[in-house]
Amino acid sequence: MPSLAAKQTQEQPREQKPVLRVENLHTWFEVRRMGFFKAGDVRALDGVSFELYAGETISIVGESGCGKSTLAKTILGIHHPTSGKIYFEDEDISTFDKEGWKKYRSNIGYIMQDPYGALPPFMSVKRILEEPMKINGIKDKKEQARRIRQVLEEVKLAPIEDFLPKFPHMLSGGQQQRLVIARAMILDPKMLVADEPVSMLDASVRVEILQLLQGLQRKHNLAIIYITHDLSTVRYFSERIFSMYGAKIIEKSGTAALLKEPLHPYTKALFEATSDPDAENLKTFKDVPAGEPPSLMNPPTGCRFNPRCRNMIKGLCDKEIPPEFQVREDHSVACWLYKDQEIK
Amino acid sequence: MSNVLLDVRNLRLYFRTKAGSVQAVDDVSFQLREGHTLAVVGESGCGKTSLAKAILRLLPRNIERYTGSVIFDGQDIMKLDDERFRKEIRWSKIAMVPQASMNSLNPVIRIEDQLAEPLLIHEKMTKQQAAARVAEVFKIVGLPTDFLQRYPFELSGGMRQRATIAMALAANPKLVVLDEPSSALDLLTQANLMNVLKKIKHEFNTTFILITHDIGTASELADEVAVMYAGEMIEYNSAEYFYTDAHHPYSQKLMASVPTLREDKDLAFIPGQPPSLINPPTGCRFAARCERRFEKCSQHPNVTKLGGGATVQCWLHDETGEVKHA
Amino acid sequence: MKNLWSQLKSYPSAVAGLILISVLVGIAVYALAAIPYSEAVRLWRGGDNVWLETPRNARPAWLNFFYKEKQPVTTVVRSTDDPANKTVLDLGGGVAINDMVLEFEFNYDGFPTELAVFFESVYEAARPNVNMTWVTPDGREIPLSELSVRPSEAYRISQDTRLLRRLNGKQPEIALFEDPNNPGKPLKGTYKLVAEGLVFEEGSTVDASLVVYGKLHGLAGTDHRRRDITVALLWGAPVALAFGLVAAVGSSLTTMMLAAASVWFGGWVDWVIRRVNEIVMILPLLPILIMVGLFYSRSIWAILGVVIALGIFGSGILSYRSMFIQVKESGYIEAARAYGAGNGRIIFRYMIPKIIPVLIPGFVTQVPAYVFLEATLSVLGLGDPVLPTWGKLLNDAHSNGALFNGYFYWVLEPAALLILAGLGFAMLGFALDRIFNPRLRGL
Repeated sequence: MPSLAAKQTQEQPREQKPVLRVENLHTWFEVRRMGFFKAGDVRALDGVSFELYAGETISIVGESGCGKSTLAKTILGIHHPTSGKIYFEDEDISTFDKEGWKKYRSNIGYIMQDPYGALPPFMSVKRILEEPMKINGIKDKKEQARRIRQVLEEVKLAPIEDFLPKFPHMLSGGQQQRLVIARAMILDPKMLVADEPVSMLDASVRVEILQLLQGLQRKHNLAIIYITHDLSTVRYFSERIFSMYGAKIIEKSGTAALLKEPLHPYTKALFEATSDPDAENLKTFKDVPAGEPPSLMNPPTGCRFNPRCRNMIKGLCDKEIPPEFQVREDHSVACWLYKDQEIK
Repeated sequence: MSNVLLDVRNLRLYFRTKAGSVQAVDDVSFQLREGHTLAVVGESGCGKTSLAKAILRLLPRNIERYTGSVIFDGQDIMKLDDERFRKEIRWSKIAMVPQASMNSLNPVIRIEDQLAEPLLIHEKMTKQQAAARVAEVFKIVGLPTDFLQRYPFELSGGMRQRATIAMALAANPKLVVLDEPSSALDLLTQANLMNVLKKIKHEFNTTFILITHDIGTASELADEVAVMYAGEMIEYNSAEYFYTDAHHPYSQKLMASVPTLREDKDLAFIPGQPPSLINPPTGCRFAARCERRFEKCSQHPNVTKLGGGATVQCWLHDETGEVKHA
Repeated sequence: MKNLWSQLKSYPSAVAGLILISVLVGIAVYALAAIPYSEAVRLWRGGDNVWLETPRNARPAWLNFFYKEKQPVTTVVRSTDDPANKTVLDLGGGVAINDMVLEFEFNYDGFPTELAVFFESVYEAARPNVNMTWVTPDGREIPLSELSVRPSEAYRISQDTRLLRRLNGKQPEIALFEDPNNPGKPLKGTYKLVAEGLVFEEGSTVDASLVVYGKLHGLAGTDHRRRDITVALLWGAPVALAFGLVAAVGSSLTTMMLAAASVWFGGWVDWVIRRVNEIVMILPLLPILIMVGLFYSRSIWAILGVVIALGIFGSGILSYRSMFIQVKESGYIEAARAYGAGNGRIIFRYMIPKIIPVLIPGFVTQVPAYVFLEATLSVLGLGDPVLPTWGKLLNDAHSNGALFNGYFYWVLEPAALLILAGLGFAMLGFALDRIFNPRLRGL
């Protein structure tokens, strides 16, 4: 029976250099009125730092508008950071020239939420896979054919010859997502950014795709950023979890530790809101905070969760932005509740 | 034991397309008791939305076959003509919250007017009565009544979804059909919405049919769970048993593929794809993907009645309800 | 593509439209092959010797099929057609009699419209002299005229006033054919024109051609300048198709590119394109074209350029723009940016192909609009000065009072072709629209 087990956290050889290092990254979008006059900034990403190592997956969880997709797109070079640095293998990507960008792009694959939307409907499978190679300088037809064969084998779209002339609408949802993964893998990247890769798929296909990604990661020692709103899938896929709220990372933890005991009130709420299939659910009400995520144009002062937080400490949480408190070796949280629990 | 509110017998809904006849709902029978919630689960394209539309008679023009009986509150509503159905049943007795309905509110009409409109038309209420009722249902779904004066775009997605649920509840229907009410919403909003629905269910004894692909969320509201596969209702079971011990091999597989947050289990997936609803296989429609198929599966399985009102459409369960292990 | 074809086949309107379009394309190809451009221009410019032997304002010949009283078509008899037509009697000293008998059958129920004899002669100093006699089937001999002929001489019997007087004021083309026992009806049978030519020099010759102008001519009839309308009908097809297609394709493609660039680059590019569009949208197309025609050039290609340039802007750019705004947000564009596709590639390889299916039905239905525009300009007298087009036929017909004078064919023929072109493209376009935009598909 095809199955997917929870990921075993391996000892990270931390002496190796990270594949990706993000330092105090801000991505703000200017909002204009009448097309000319600046009305303010949407702070879609507001001070994010982390390191990502080869072979590891970081899950980023949070609701829509928390900045997780902006983080992905900033790393991918679709958005340009307002401030802060991204280092790829210790090289600052803002210093890249055209060739540098080509090399950088070849090293990051992008997997999106809606597989059908992610594929140009007017291109055949073959052309879809050729496009990244043509753009990034793999012009040799034989090499192109070899890579297409390899990635299609890896994502198990077989028989390959049957799929090459097909168009996206002729594929099932699962096959479309495999094709998206194949496209992300065609340049032989060192890293994948997977933005909700399974949330639009049916449950039975979801597992298959996660398993495929897990297999690819093992085979190619890929670093993966897995963005999701669904806490229940992260166990199967990641070593570390970052919880995002209001354009900031509010909690960073090893997967097992977080699933055992989430610390930030928001992460706790996400936990509470996730329904496991269980008939007992009918009998209880969920204890989740009301309200909406904050406006990113005028975020609340202090902790961005403070207007919805029932543990809010007046005069502190609504005034000062909480720093990251390291409460365990693999667990840090940006919440004033833990200011006294920091380990030295 | 409460009375049966909805009794669906041999409901069939086929569509005519260029490629052939699509058997979207094929011989579906079930009973739903008053005050209970039925969660209809299944993967995309399994016919669960078509089932809701068939019950509410919200049909497209390319109908090839629409047969069976839908007995609602003791009356066979399939026998009513369209005009009477529209006047007497839809909205006033059976309401529906369609998929992504939060985006179907008219953006240029204030919420209050949109909610009051069906009351003025269907229930022949006066403006004051309608306004009072609208304010009442707004409170029920947990929205502040001053939002009634706003336009839909001024509300967040979760609020708009609550407003559409309020709209469905306004005429005090006995049955509310919810089609993926929460799937477009964020996690916390979704949880809040489920709380609201749960409250309505408890306080007003409203009967719900909840159509969803999210088996986890379905458990928040479901008394009964029906699994649809390729147009057929292959299992109907009480939630209590379904979530611990589903009968149909497909249901079991489906349950095994759902990741859980609080429990560490290995996930399984079902290889292959569901059959096309145009010319589905003559035998069991799941047989091609089933690990437990045997010779008999090439014939169409009967619906077997099991204890507690559960039914399953699988040869592994014979007439006596015993499970045969192949 | 294969799929498209099989889908098209299931729409009767598409099949009918395609048939109409291929008929027009067939006509166009035939016209280009049979009448080269220069020949078409020469024929339509007309001049002295091009249309000598065709009647003026004749109806199409096939109308006889419907008439109970058969009307005459043009008959031409030449002395050179048959050696038997001409006998030469040498009288010595250079003087000779060239006796020409031009014989023809006349079996129609209507009278001819005109009679003319054209002479060709060769001489050095002394002109040949010709004496003509008309012989009717019942043997009456009517002397016509005697004249001395230049190298190229036309004797228009119908305009011979002396003859007219001799025939008691009756038009010669009637008097010469009338049955004496049945006035008002022509006498059927073999007529003869006997032309006795007398040459006065060694080597001098004279030849005659008798033209009995009919009431009907050719496939399409003739106009006021004796031109065969068929020429214009045939040549109108390639001109109309080329004008319509080039204008539709040119303007919609450019519109689409502008809209795509406007959406993709946003910012000031978008601003400028939108403002220019707003300005051009309020400019009236027809008056501008009339001014271009009056002050610059009436050449169809100049007009075409202006039509395309102005056709780029308009509501189309706004609707494409709104489509592109959606396309810009689609995941595959984002993916393309992530793997490094540049601006040009994204616009041409990713955005435009997505919209093409919407464009095709649109531009197919636009073709007739441009065909009609060209016709409109021609009707207004701003047609291309040298090329024969359908619109110019209508213009000629209009200015010659075709409908008052009963020359209905002159109006109906080009109009029918215009309607067929419009119908063909419209039917195909509507079917394509249903195929490409499934939401419109009926069930």
